[in-house]
Amino acid sequence: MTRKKDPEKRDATRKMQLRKKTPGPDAPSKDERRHLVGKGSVFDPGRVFVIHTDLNERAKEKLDENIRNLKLDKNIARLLRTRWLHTSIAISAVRSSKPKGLLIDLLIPAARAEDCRLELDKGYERWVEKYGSKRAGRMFAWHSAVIVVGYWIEWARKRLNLLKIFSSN
Amino acid sequence: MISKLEELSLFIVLRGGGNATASEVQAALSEAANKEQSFGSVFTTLDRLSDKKLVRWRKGQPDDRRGGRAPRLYEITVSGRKALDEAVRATRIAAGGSEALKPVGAIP
Repeated sequence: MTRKKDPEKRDATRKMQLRKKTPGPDAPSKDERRHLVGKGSVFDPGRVFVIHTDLNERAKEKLDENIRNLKLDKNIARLLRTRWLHTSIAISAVRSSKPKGLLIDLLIPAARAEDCRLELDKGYERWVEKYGSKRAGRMFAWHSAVIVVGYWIEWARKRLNLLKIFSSN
Repeated sequence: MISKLEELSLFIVLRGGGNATASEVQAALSEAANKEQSFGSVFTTLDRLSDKKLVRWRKGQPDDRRGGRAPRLYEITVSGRKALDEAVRATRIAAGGSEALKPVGAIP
């Protein structure tokens, strides 16, 4: 005899699981998650899953609604849910691997650093499309270093010019 | 007199129609030079142009996707436009007529 789960009870259980920050019963296995996140990632696959679940809860509801409306076969619905889950985890992992720009935050005044980070982030997205994430990461680090050096050289040049003006007077 | 990098940056800011960001300037300069222009030099150039009052900037709309941060939007000033016209005129005079402005392959 199979026991049918009450949908309301299932939703309540799911919400409770989210609150506890633990992956639900549909979550891929640890090996699967590790494979999706990819080699060399410093992010914990479990954490990526939890973040992804929190962010995409609304999207998941939409998917469920579409599956219900189309009256799809149970197995196909399950397959679709799994595919959606895997894709969104992979996207979350790629988004999380964006460089932090710590060098700029530490060595440049906060107001300027914010502008630099914003523009560098846009540049990084363009480089990822053009060169791939590995080279884009290297370029991000290189450009950050050049920005820091350039900022302080410009700062020194301005002070030197002021000194020249005062000494000539 | 403005430098070549400043001149190109002014052209790109002018083309942006008052909404040019530093990353757009960098992308356009990289495309023009056929190699990645450093962000450091772009920021320095735009700061210098701003100090000379050839461009002015304002904060744009904050973007939720980028943590609610607002980008700087650059706009060319009247003196910037004059400096650009002067630079273009100087290039034409220095080239000394149409012969030097032709592509290398076209000169017999």
